[in-house]
Amino acid sequence: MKKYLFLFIFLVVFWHYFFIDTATIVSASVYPVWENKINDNTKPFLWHANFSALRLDTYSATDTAGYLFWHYGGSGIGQIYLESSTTSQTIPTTGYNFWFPVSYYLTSSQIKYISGGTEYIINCTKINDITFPEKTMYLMKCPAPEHIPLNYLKINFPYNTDWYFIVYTDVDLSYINSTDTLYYYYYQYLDTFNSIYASTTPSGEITLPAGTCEDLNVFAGALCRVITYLFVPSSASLNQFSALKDLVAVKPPFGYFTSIKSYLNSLSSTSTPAFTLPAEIEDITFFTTLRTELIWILWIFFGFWVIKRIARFDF
Amino acid sequence: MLATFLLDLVYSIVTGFLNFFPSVSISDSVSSAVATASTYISALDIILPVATLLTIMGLFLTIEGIILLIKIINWFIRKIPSIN
Repeated sequence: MKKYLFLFIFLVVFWHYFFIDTATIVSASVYPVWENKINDNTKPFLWHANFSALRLDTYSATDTAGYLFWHYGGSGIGQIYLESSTTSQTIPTTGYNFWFPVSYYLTSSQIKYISGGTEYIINCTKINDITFPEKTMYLMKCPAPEHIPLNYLKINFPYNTDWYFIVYTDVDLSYINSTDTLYYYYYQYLDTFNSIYASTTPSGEITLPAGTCEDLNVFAGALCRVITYLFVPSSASLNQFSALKDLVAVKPPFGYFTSIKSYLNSLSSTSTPAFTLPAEIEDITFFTTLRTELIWILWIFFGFWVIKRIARFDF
Repeated sequence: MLATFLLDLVYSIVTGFLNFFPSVSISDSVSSAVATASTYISALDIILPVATLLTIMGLFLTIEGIILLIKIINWFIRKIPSIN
């Protein structure tokens, strides 16, 4: 038994060390390691994506250049990381802004930066709607925190939405698109439609940087890869669980709740009335007062019910 | 590989279990009933806060659905040996 175990380990180490490329290993990690990335300033954005096609456009409809990514629907839950190629470079002091025109309204908690392993929320505000060639987008104004490395900006996109995304800064555009390189990495992706397109074929294969296994010696590196290979689940295997939500929603017993709830939503108080109450009733202020007080009473009763239900629930 | 395999296995089992059940479908007559009900409800909207009622009913269903989900998860957990 023991010799078979050793043989198995040997084969796995041998196979993994010699035949598994680093991109595969890194793509199995949820968080990419960015230290050894490719730095090519001729390509404004580098990316790695586990989907069949990608669309990368240079945006030129306004005076301010930018880059536009978009994704058409599908079942996807996304996080985008943007990082400057020079991690020591800081974005300027408070008073400047980053601008994120996005197609889907993002709350401030969905745009963060990561510094020293800690996530910080950037208090972005929605300024107005701006019309881009594709559609109207929300313009998010995100104040730059004071002297933080652009490492990372993390944007959580909601589930199952169309979204567009551009990065601008009113600080110094060259900081982003000419003197620096932004890395675009989209992970936790699950798209049944493969609906991200590439209008510009990237000039060269883009691979994610090697993981920390590369920094080790031959045997430690091989062992590192084996452990990574054996025990680090692929992002695809994690992401597939997000699709379960849709499935559960249509299956009994939850499907009944979903159906009834959708029917309740379609009940409308603004439909054409089947009958009209006498005009005198509408003029009686008593009913207006009663209606207002009923709203309060209903919410208070609902609050009591919630407290009672939760207090008596056996977790 | 192992973690991926386990996750895929769990996903396959859960998905297979769920696919065993047919998707919930409610009769089309419910739609017409809802449309009819809307016409009566809207007439009473002067007196009754219909929007509030509907919101509360939606929240009620959501909470009951979550409680049901928790109960089901707990039931599965209790099936694990040595866990009560």
